[in-house]
Amino acid sequence: MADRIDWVALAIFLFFFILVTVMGFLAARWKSAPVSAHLDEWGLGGRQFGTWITWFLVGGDFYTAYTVIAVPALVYAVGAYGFFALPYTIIVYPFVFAVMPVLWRARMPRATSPRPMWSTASTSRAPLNWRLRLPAWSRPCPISRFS
Amino acid sequence: MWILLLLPFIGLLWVPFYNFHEPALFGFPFFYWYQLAWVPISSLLIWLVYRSRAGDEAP
Repeated sequence: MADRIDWVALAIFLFFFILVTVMGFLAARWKSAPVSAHLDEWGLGGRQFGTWITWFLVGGDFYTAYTVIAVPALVYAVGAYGFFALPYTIIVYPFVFAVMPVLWRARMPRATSPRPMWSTASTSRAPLNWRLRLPAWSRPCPISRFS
Repeated sequence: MWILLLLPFIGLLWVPFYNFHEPALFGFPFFYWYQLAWVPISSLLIWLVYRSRAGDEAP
């Protein structure tokens, strides 16, 4: 069993691997932007894709190996206990909806930069909105998918 | 309106609220369909809050 190659599975894997790779390179040209001129074009994957495609990109970012491998494995091993992942995923959305725009507004006047800059911005400047202080004690899960 | 965003936290983080087998829905125990039902409910709540707040002005 172990020394036999499953050609169907291998072909499907190679097909999607090549498809996604080619699509990635094509997409880079399709919606090209002045990447070198704007940090957010590089750091945030570009603002050229529009709402519809960005929705799928965020979904692909969000539902990672944690969702498709780790959680099913946990449910397989221990049963319903693994369902903690579902409430966790659900409450993240209202949380992000409330908090992220605050971070964006706090950061926006100076520059658009990814997360590493937030800490310096928040400790050295004016008092922050209460919604920014929530994450410190309300973090719902030790496993972070915002990596 | 922002208080609506707390409802999913209340409804989901206290497991004794939904740790039951009955009433089942299409064969799914209450434990499962109750949690899945919060997906569309949360979307609706976020939409209500989104609609109610003042529009974002670009800084």
